[in-house]
Amino acid sequence: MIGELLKKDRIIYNMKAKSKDEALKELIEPLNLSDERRKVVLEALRKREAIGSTGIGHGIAIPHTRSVVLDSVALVVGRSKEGVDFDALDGKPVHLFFLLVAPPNDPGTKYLITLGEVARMAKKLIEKDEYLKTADEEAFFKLLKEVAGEV
Amino acid sequence: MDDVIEKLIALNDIDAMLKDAESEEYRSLGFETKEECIEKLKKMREEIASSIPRQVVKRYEKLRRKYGRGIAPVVNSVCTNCFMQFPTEVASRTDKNQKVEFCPNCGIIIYWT
Repeated sequence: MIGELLKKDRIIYNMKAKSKDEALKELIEPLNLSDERRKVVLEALRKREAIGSTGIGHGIAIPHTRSVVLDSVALVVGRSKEGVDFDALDGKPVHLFFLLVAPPNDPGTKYLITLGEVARMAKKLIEKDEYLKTADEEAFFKLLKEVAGEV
Repeated sequence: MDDVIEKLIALNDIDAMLKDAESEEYRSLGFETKEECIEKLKKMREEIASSIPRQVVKRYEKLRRKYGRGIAPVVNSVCTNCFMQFPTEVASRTDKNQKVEFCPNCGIIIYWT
């Protein structure tokens, strides 16, 4: 499932964001939503963050939300070499982002299953400790695909 | 987009968030779902609901009880709640999402994508 969601045009190899809100804005860019839909999704993500950070620690954040304006489950992966202050649970900067968005009603709770896969994948990437050392975007994508195959 | 439709979408998105936050499956993933956080979300929901005309909220709640959601997107001219295809003359209108509308088949509030 997660392997199918990984797409080259939804990878941000060098994120520019310095703050939490900038990171959310940058992460939804590859979804190519209309201004109207982008605004709604960003607001839903902000609301989700307001009830507790999705920065789960060890440099990982998994911002996620459901929204009526989305037609299907989508994943965007972002990598920040400098790190972003995302109010993570351990207080450390976030280097690896997995943005997961989905429509509210998805058959077979695909969204929650994928969210679980994303969490496992993120942890594996941290264990491998290679994601900040990849030579280029291609190598990073290859690493993501490889780890996705293991979860 | 009409202000009320925008608020109904926000309401539906919060309802989906609440449903997740209260599920065991979600909690087991390790995301923060403290009781105070859920209360905060419920308060946000109340604030949004109170800014929507009473009759519309009433209908939204009724639809939510019936279908599990109060608003559904129309994708490629098809209502995603009942899968009814809208006639071309309706789907090609230029004033979509400018007022609250209902699917003529299932009655759900629609949002044109």
